[in-house]
Amino acid sequence: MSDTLTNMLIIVICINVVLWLGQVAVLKNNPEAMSFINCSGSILESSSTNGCSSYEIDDSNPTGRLPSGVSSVSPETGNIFTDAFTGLKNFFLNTLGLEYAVQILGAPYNFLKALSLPVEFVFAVGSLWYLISVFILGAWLLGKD
Amino acid sequence: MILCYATNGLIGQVITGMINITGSLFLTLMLILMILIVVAIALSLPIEATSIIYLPLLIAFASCEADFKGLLGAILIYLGFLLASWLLPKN
Repeated sequence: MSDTLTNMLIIVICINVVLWLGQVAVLKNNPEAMSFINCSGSILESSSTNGCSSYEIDDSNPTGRLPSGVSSVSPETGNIFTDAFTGLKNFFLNTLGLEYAVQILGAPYNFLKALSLPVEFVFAVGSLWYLISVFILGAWLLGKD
Repeated sequence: MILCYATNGLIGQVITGMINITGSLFLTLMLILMILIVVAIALSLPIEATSIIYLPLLIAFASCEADFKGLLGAILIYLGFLLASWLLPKN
């Protein structure tokens, strides 16, 4: 399942990057043209230093982005399973941020909605992606590879 | 409507004439796009080869007409999948 989650993450990031580059190209052509996707609020913002205002990659603390496990395990209150789960959940929520997970889960919904496609189509494709990815994300957090 | 083409050139005059026939800039640009798609199909060109023409064309069209947002988005999402397929880890 971790392979699937990695694939989903790569697909979401690639589509986000290409869509944003397309948006930049359209706005370079005509500054008054329509806007369908912004860097701020997208998954690209999490790698930026100033939240997409200066387009600088935040490479100051790469080790801070790696997961760190819980330091000790109490035999009375916890076990290895919950420890790994807590470590991964804390990495996902504290280091990457809850928005990161939300953006993976809701990515197609946001892309397709931004392109003004019919709401039924957007809802159907969005819910398909959401339900599958939330299951895969849950399985990854629980260590069920 | 933003005028996004030079009216004094040959292509500009052709587009102006086509706008008089079709009634709108969107239909004119869509007609040009459809003709190019038909040519690509007739020549059996793969979609990866044709996207090198369609992508800049659709970016230019979308910067003139907001109605091309959906088509531009579709081709960008396809290119995103294409980029992802190159970057996906090979097992």
